[in-house]
Amino acid sequence: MKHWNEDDFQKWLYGLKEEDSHLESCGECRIEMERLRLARQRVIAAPELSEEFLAAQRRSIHSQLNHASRNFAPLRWALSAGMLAVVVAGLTLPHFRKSSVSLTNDEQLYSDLAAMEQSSEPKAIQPLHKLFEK
Amino acid sequence: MMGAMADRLEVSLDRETSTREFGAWMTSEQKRIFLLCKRMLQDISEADSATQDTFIKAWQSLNRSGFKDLDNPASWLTRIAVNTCLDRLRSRRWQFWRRRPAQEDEENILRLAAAAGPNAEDRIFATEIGGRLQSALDKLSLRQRAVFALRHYEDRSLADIAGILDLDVGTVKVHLFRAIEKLREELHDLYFRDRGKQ
Repeated sequence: MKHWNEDDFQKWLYGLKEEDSHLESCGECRIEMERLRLARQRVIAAPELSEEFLAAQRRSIHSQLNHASRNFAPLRWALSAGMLAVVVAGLTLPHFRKSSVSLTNDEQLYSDLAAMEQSSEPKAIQPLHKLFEK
Repeated sequence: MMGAMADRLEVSLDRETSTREFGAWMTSEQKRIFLLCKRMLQDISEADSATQDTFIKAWQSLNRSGFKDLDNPASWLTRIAVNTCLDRLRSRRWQFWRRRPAQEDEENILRLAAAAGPNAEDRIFATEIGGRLQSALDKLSLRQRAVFALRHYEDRSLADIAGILDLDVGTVKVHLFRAIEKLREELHDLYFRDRGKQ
C-alpha cells in the first residue's frame, strides 16, 4: 500500500483524516507520525508570559469590575426610573390635555345647543328681519 | 461559584466569595485567553484589551444570570473571547486609519509580555516559524482564522470548536480544510522542513 504523504499527515494532524490500516502496519509511516506528534506538542505548548504583565492585566480587570459593579447598579436604577417616568408622562399627559380640550369643546357644543333650543328662530333668519324694519 | 480548575460553574449567592473565586478562575484561564486573543488579533495591545473585555463580559453575564451553573466554563469563556476578537476584527476592516503600534512599540510590548523561555531553540522555533504562521493568518477569513486558532494552538476537537463557534462539525471541517490549504507553505515549513535533521 502507498505510504502516507505530507498532505495525509497534515490532515491527520488537524483531525481531518483518520488512521488507517496502512499506518498500523507501516513502520516508516509510524515513525513519521510519532515525529509529527512531538512537533505538534511543541506548537501547542504555550509560550511563557511574564508574570508582571499578567498581574498588571488582572489588576486592570479587577479595577474595571469594581468600577462597573460600583457604578453600574445605581446608574441602572436611575436610568430605569428615568425611563419609567418618561413613559408614564408620555402616557398620561396627552390624556389630560385631550380630556381638557374635549371638555372645552363639549361645553361649547352644549352652550350652542342650549342657545339654539332657547331661540325660536334660526340665526340665519335674523338678516331678513332687517328688511322689514322701519 | 467556581473552583480555579473547576469543570463546572456552581451557584454561589455570596457575592464576596463569587468575586474571589472569579478572580482565581480568571487567573487560571487568563494566559490561555490572552494567547488566543493574541493569535486571532495579531496585535498584543489589542489582545490585552480583548482579554480584559472577555473577563468583564463573563463577569457581567454571570451577574445577570444570577451565577447559574455552566457545564463547561472554559468553552463558554472561549466562545466569549472568540466573539470579542471577531467583533474587533470586523470593526478593524472599517478602520483604515487605525493606528498600528510602531514597530519598536510592538517589540517593547512583546519584550514585556514574553518572559524568557527555558529552551533557546524552542524560542527561536516559536519566534521564527510561529511568527511567519501568525502573519499568514491574514490570508484567512474570520471564521477560518477562529477555527484554525482553536485547532492549531489549543488542539481542540472539531466537535468542541463547532460548539464554541455555534457551527456544525461539517462546516468546521470545511473551514479548517480551507485554512490549511491557504497556510500550506507555512505548515510545510513548520512540520516538514527539518524532517531530514531528526
